[in-house]
Amino acid sequence: MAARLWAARLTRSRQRFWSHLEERALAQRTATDLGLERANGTHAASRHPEGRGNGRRPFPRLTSYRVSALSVGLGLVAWELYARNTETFVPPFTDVIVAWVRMMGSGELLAALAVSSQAFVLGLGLAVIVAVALGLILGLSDTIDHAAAPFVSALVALPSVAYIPIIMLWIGFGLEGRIAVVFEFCVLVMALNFRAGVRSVDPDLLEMARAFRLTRWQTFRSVLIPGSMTGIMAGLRLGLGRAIKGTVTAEVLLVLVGLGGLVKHYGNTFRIDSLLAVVGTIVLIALVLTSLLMRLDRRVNRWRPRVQDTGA
Amino acid sequence: MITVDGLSKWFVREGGRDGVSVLHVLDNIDLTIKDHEFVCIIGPSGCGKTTMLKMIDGLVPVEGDAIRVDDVPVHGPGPDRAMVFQNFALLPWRDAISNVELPLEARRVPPAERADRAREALRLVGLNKFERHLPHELSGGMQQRVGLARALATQPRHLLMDEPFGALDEQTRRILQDDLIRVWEQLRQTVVFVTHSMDEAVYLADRVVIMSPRPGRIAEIVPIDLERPRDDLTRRSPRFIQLVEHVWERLRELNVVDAVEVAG
Repeated sequence: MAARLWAARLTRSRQRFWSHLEERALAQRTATDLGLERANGTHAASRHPEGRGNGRRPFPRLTSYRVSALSVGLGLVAWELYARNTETFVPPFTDVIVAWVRMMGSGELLAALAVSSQAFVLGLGLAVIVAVALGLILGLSDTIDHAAAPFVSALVALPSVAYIPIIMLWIGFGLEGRIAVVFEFCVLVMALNFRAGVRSVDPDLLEMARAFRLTRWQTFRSVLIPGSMTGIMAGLRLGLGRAIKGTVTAEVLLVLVGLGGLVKHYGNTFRIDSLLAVVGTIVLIALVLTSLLMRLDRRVNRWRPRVQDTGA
Repeated sequence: MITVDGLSKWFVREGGRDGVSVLHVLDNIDLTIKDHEFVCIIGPSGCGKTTMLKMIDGLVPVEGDAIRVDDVPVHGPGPDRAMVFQNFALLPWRDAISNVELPLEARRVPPAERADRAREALRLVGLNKFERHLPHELSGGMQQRVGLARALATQPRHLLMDEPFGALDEQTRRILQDDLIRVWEQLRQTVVFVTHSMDEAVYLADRVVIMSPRPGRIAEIVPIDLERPRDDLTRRSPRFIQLVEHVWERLRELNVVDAVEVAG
């Protein structure tokens, strides 16, 4: 009985999802047609009519957030059951938690985190600066873009790991070497997205800027940068992910320090619970940083009409 | 006064199989537009009407002194002219009033005066209640009102309008036509208005310039002797209908030539 109710609810929420999108779009259009006050009218109209106020509800509504949380919870329970009932190298989830608490208590994790974050922050920061410059140049100049295209394609095709021996020889095993790996992992993807952002700026807006005699700097600040914001944020999101991968990769392949060093160490000594505790920490950090960036994205792109809000 | 004197234009297109091809867009155009005059330019697509308008604004390069505005040869956009664009060209991340302020920022008008002038311009186009709305929160007609306000805020002597109502539906278009005339009768700029709507051209203009395509030439200049102020009665008057028919006949002739060219 309960199962059937859930199934019905799932179907309904799926239907709702699509009608929800259409409703929003429609409400938005109607509101603008009527010249209604911003947002207020739109949002009120797009709320599900059956969403509230129908008295008792036996189950909580399946928001996308709840579905995600449910899926994670079920995954962890399955993991625990599987590990407890079979003989594998996979430790139960609770063992991983215990290991994590122990490593936090001993300061081992935090010390490793401090070491890792140095290379991460410096490598990513440097890469952002270079990528902004590169993205602007490639986005604004066709000639330079054409000239650079073969090199860019070659560099993109090459797996990032292939640079590590070169970095080893050129820069060495110190902090500089790790910074270089992080930089190399994330700089291109950001530059290419920034470039795409600049190229996505509506040429009509640039013509308008010329017609009203905006200075170079005003055009840059008021038209080009806001117009490129979608590409810039996409680049930062991808770059962030790749910088985390670069940080860990450098620590595993270049020099055994930081979180990557711990991964390698616990892998070699077959302490999988500790290994997974470190991996889990890395995943958590990545998720937190990504969600911060998404929040920033929503902030800078607030002017964009929001038709879809998946809550993810 | 805007003087177009023996204006010709070729575009060089690179690419394609032949490498480079030359497109003859405008051929020896002569046109004088008096101060405070409202001139509509109409013609089939490819007749270079928009190109000519953009050359008057200085957005498309002009050689020599083929175009003079108040006796000064045009070599780039100037503060005496303002453009209203077909697709509005509003910054989507700025609200109505900041969009109107943009050209004033470029002229280093102090912020307080900037806001005053922008507000005044928005009031002129009837958008004073929508200052803080983003473009996507406004209907197409309202967006173009912002575009018009932006041009008016620069207090131009000459208003250049590139199919400004082309993207709007018929009802909105008529309302904006009347509002434009109202604003123009108040401020009396010179208006050069490119359109592909015959009704619109006849309804708005003192003179309608009919252009023929490939290369763009002036086929005829039709003086519009309808009385002002014009309103819905004007649209129903026999003279209005007669003038629209006349424009249509000239345009149809041009289109027949066009069709033969395509078939051949």
